[in-house]
Amino acid sequence: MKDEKSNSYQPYDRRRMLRLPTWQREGKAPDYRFSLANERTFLAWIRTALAFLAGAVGIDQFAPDLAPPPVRDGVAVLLALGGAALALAAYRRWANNEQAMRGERELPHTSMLIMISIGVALIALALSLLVIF
Amino acid sequence: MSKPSLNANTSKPSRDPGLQPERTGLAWSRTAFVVLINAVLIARSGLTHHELIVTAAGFLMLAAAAAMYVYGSVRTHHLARLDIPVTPSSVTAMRLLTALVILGSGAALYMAIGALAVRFL
Repeated sequence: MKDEKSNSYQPYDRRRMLRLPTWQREGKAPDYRFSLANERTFLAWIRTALAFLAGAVGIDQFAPDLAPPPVRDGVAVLLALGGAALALAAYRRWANNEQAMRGERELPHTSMLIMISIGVALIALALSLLVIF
Repeated sequence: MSKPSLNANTSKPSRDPGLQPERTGLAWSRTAFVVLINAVLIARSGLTHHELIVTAAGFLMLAAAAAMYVYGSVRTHHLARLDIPVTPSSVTAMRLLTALVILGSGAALYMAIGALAVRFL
């Protein structure tokens, strides 16, 4: 490849797993600090997903007196699904941000923050009602 | 802007004033600790309920946590030398981590849905 503008990483490994996504050869490499900030943001979202997962396992397995078992299992299902969805969203958001930076576009808007705020507030409210009554 | 180039006199990589490589490597390492907590929780709940699949998922996450902790320092060292941070192996690491969290969620769902099924079916 000889598009000197794209400054893209030359894939040294031809195995399929280790190939860069195709969009990684488009546009212009962003400031490396922005790429690293994007990577850390991905990791922060992953830790949020893992916190949901820990909540799911913890409520289901290690808090037997918290609520009737079906309610605990239900909350655990919701939290585990939330964790999986957040992990996927984390990767998608990283890729979208990276693409936007390569194309010198604005970063895409995300509704993830408002959604998990409302979700966590609802679960906390439900659990505190269960503790009180 | 690309990474500050090599220092002409010392031929050592010039130090980034924002400490970007360290911060990114440390972010991987502290994420490894959160994976570790989840691995222990899942492995233990698999062991207490004699669920082989869940236990296996827990131990896989345990191994992944150790690997991630090492990857954190490897990433720091690579970033001190590489001009371009997004590499085939870094993208693979992020994809594997995403898959690992989904695997853990699957294990938690398996336990919770199994318990619900026993009660209602």
